[in-house]
Amino acid sequence: MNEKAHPVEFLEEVDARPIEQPDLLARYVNFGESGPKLRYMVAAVKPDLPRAPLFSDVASAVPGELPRRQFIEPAVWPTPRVQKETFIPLQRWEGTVIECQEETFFARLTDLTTDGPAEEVELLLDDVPEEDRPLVEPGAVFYWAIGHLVKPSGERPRISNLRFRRLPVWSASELDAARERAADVAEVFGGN
Amino acid sequence: MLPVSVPLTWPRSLAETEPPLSATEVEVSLFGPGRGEAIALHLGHGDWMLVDSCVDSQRRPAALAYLESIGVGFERVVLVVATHWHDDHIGGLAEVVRACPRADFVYSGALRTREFHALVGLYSERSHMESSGVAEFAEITRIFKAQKGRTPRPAMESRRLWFREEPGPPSVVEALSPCDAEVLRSQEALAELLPKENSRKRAVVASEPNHASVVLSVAFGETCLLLGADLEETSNAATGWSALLERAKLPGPSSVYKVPHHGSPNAEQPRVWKEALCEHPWALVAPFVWGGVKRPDEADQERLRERTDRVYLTATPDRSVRQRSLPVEKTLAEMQARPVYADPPMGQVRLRCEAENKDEWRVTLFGPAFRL
Amino acid sequence: MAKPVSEQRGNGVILRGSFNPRILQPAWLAAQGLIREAESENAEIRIVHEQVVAFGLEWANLEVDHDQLVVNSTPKGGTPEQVRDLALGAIEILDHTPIYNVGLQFFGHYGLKDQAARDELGWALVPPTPFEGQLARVGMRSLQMAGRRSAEDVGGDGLMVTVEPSAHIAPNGVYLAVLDQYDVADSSEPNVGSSFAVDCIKSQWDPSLKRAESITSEIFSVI
Repeated sequence: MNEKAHPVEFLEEVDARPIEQPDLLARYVNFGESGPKLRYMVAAVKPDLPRAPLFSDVASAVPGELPRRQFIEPAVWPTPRVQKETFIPLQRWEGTVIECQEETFFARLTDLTTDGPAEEVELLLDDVPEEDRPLVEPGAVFYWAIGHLVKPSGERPRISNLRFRRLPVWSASELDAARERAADVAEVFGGN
Repeated sequence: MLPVSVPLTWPRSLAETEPPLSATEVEVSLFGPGRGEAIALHLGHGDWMLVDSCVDSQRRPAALAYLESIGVGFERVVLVVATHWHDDHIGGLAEVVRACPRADFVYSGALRTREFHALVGLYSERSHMESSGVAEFAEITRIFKAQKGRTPRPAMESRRLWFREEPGPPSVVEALSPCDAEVLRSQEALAELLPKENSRKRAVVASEPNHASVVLSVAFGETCLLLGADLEETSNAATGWSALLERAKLPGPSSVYKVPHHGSPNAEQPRVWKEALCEHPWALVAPFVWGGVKRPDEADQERLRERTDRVYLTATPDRSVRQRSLPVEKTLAEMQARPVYADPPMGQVRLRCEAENKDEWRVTLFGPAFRL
Repeated sequence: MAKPVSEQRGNGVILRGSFNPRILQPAWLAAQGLIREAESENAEIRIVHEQVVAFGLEWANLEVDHDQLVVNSTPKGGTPEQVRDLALGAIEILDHTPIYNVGLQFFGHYGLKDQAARDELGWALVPPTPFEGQLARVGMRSLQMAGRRSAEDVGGDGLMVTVEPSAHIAPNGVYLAVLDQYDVADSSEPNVGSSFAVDCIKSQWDPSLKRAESITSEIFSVI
């Protein structure tokens, strides 16, 4: 378990009204202003803390959607830290590395902002975050955004955000599935 | 500053403004680069061959757009050839195959290997990685699986791909490569591209040199053309241009030469000019730019001019810079990064002559095409 | 069209199925190469419990319990593709995880030029009659529209569009979200894994993104 995990404790027994759900935690989804947010109701808390509040289910008008629930008091673990800085992108690209050199690499770019024609650029390896540098090789894909980082103080420095795409490595099952598709190709394009 | 992207458009409808192609006229057009290169060739009597494919600024196969503009129905295309699988040669090829249901589809015999099948199988679905050349073949696979009774054919050295005796003059298309040794080298190169378990996912980047390339010889009456695809000269006696000249039986010296590999020095073999081509052939080149590579560069152009004074490029290999908003430009300047348009605008070089008058080619240039 | 004078966009991937939350911790994601080690070390852990895990990276928040996995972008986030790749990578590795429904959400907070523009948008979407005679200073507080991508869609497939005042851009901000949902497998079927969900995300990402942009543009065109 992660050492930084918040030390929330849950009671074994519940001294409250009958809880409909057997789990200690009840879940609901709030489609609020900031997008879908999971919320949890702790069914019971430590004896020396106030009893956990009751909650009511408000059925959703949308068929198939989870019922909305009203919290009377918030859950007992920390809510997300509100980010005070906002990144406003001005230009975004998806890039594919085509050639690596000692201090730079060439990449082919797809414009994600205006869907324009393909471009090519030479970038400094120094501009790649250190942890991403081992990923820089021909065929590697990255996302590159230039924009303003707006701070609560009002400052808006321009920044470049370059991040290499991280996907799972080729798995045995993927390679097996590809072999089956290769058989289809072989049917059309002959075989050895 | 060069024009950003001058779309290649033909004057309204060429069919209305030009005399129609006669049955015994040969016509060859080279399109490029846009993204890649392509050839449209009239084999006489309304039969057409398309070699490779590239897409224009509207993402349409350039050869199809051109045929439409001169009033040629796609049912007149009798042969479609994919000289290899690299991204810059087959953009839009699946659309060409689909649009020309009466055409035989011929592909490089070097791709008739389990390594290439595996590559297509890997990158056709769920790889999350873009690889346009492989994706075209994946789509072509789907087309042929849906169309029973239509089967692609592999091209190998000395294999006749198409022939018409009557009405004359006779017209023949023959593959001069790949040979067995090139198939083997290609197989080894493709095997290197196949990922292993637990390796990182990345897009397919084709390796050099290109051993899969199909060189075509076309003869219509007295007129011969040599289409060099991307075949390179190698140090191996069994592969490349030297090996091809040793084994190939050419129909006659060609008066038109599609210069291989975008005029790159690694595709240069002086014997080709002496033994396979007539004096002062018409040499056609589609440029190629990729990363730090630009072909044909000044040295390449000089070398080509020494071979013949009739060198035509479909476009200049120079690229223009795209202007963006000031904050973006400033940030790019601070990073010393300057994105340029990846592909120069597309042009077309078209040659026409009567089949019996092999030295009387009439040249028309479209878009940014020019004579060196 | 009254173009917004400012915007902040974000996106999320919502997956419904049967999850084991304790696996999806930052350290595990870093060990799989899906995030950087530094990101894992600096993750803001909210809870790690066998029933729920919730943590924040600089560019995304992830919350997972037994039934649902949600990855959302943050205001400081980089690109929508990063959020997509994180969800995609996690479920691709955990290929035995049954996933029945995929939601791709694209949202934005848009600043309009003034109160009048915001009122105009609200009234155009929800005409004030028949409320005007009964309520003073009537205005739209929240609108949610559900629909299908096509007339043939059935089951859980569909779109949900939400329009509300923005909590992040004030005054005169509008929040607009498009949630595109796909039923990828039947929860009653045995041996369902994550492959359908993976295929769905890969094939529907571009169409969903374009659809969301089109809907957003259409909504703002009413003013």
